[in-house]
Amino acid sequence: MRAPAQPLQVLSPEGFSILAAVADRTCPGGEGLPGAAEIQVAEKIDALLHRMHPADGPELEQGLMFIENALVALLFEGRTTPFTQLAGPDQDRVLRAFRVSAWPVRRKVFRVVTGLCASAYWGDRRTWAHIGYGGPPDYSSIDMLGVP
Amino acid sequence: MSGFIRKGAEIDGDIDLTCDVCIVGSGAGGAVLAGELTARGVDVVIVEEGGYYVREDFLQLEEAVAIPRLYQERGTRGTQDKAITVLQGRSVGGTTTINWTTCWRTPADVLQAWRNFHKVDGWDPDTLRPHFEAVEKRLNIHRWPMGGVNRNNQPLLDGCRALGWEAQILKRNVRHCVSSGYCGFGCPTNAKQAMAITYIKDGVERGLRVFADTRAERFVRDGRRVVAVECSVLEADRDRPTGRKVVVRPKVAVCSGGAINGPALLLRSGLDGDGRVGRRTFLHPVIGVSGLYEDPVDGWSGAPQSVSSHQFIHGPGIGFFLEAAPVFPVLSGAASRQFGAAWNQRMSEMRHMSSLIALHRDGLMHDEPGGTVRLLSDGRVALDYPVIGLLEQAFRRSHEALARVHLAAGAREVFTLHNDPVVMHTEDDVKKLAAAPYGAHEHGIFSAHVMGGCTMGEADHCVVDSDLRFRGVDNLFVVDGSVFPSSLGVNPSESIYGFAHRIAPTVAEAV
Repeated sequence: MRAPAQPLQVLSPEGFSILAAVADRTCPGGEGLPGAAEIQVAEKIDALLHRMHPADGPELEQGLMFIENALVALLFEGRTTPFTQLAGPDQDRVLRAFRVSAWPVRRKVFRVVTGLCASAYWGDRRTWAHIGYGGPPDYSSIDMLGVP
Repeated sequence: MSGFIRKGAEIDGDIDLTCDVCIVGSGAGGAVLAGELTARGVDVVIVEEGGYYVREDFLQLEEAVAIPRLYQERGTRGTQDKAITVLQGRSVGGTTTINWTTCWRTPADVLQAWRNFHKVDGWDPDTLRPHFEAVEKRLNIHRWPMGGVNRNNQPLLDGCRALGWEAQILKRNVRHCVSSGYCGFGCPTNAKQAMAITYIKDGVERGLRVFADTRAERFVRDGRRVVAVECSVLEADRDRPTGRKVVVRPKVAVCSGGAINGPALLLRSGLDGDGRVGRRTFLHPVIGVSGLYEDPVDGWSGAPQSVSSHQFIHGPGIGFFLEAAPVFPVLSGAASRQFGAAWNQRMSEMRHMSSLIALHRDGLMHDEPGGTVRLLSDGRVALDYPVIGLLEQAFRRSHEALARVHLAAGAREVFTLHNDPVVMHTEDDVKKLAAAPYGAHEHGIFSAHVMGGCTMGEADHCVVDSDLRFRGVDNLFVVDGSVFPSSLGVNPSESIYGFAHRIAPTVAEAV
């Protein structure tokens, strides 16, 4: 299991590991971009969950278990290996299958998990050089032109 | 007599107070109403579940800070199936704190449709005109100068002109705007004339009392009257009750929590309008198509929206209008359904990316049910919104329109937000869009304009009457975008300002 860089506030260690594995595939880094682990994407999501409704964390955890669970995977995809133990390209195939699944709950899980990962990743300053974004301007000393 | 804005951390014990009018929500509807009522000498209390922020709080303009702080559900709100991302604000000022300042009066044809199908009485352009003029004056709503069109909006203007399509420069509620482009994260210069620095400020100077971080849990009734509004004080920046309570005992209560939260409050209060509350919720569902240009666009800089095209607003079928959406790392990065190295490559082109959107005018056709707001057993609110065939057909047409605009404007490459993006380089490539799938989870769909859920009018299916009074309750009004019987086909903020201004004397009379 992947150990978090910060103490977990909401996710279980297993849920965190699954989330970290998904983040590694959705936000892989490379060519100068830091990877999801360096950005601490899964840790950031755990911290966000701490600020949300108490039911949001368990619901996300359930979705992560859905991705990981080998028995469920056997029914939908014919695989028996848990997600976290798959090789990278196979993990990508699982995520793409979730994305277009005929089952609404799998599509929902894909959208929630990947959306959280992307938000946490691209919200970090260390990704901005890659996209040519210099960051927000500094208005702390702007002449307020008489505006209160 | 001066009022106040009190944060949750400043509320150190239970509070029980009386007033003339208690307004739940401090957004476009609640704030204008409060400002107008206090000007008439009415004693008003606002309870607002979001936090209170001033200009200095907005200087940290990073999305990672601003979005969880200022958006509903920390920026994660969406339909229950998560096919549609929903952006709504949460703060003193509501969505006006984070909107992109685009202002339009309510279109006459929409008001006519409401009169015809929902028997809305007394809301015509002539009646509304003085109210729009008043809010336009207070909020400095004016047409943005042509020179202020940024490079993200310019392709919409250029492309429409090249195609012979209608396009115009739109109006914004700003004063001394420096065109930072960061309207969506709270204005760092107080140029945006959001509710917190206008109508709320006006009201506080006249005695308005605002309790921030204070969530209304329910309206308490005695027979046909609301006798109390029970509220929980929340931990600053966390959705957790502190245990402290605020109880407001008004003569008149007003629900201005916005579409979704407003109907949710009514449902928690046992006010379901015979099953009608929460139904007919409309979203202006949005799709996006991006274009890559040779010269840098830097779509985060400059007024977020300055151009609009209503070329296709009248359909066929569900019509749509075209605008731009600013380009920011999180807003753009999380919009796609792609992931991995392929999306990293796309994001590396962000400086050259113009993002254009189509907003679909849902709710005006007879066979459009709209969405439904409901409560989950754990207290959360859910929005179900079926993406019906009519809307899927409109999505195909709007994708084609946006692609053609980009190409006519000189984009070297155009791509969609499909699971497998459709990539186009020439007008001939637009034909590829016909074979792409459209609908829930087939491509990105978003909403920043939630409307409906408490339909106004005299028809049997309406929740509030033409005076915005909740049916069956003598002293409860709904004053926000949830009263709209359909979406508008224009950005809704000015309509909400104007409607609140129009109804203020009626609410004052009810005290």
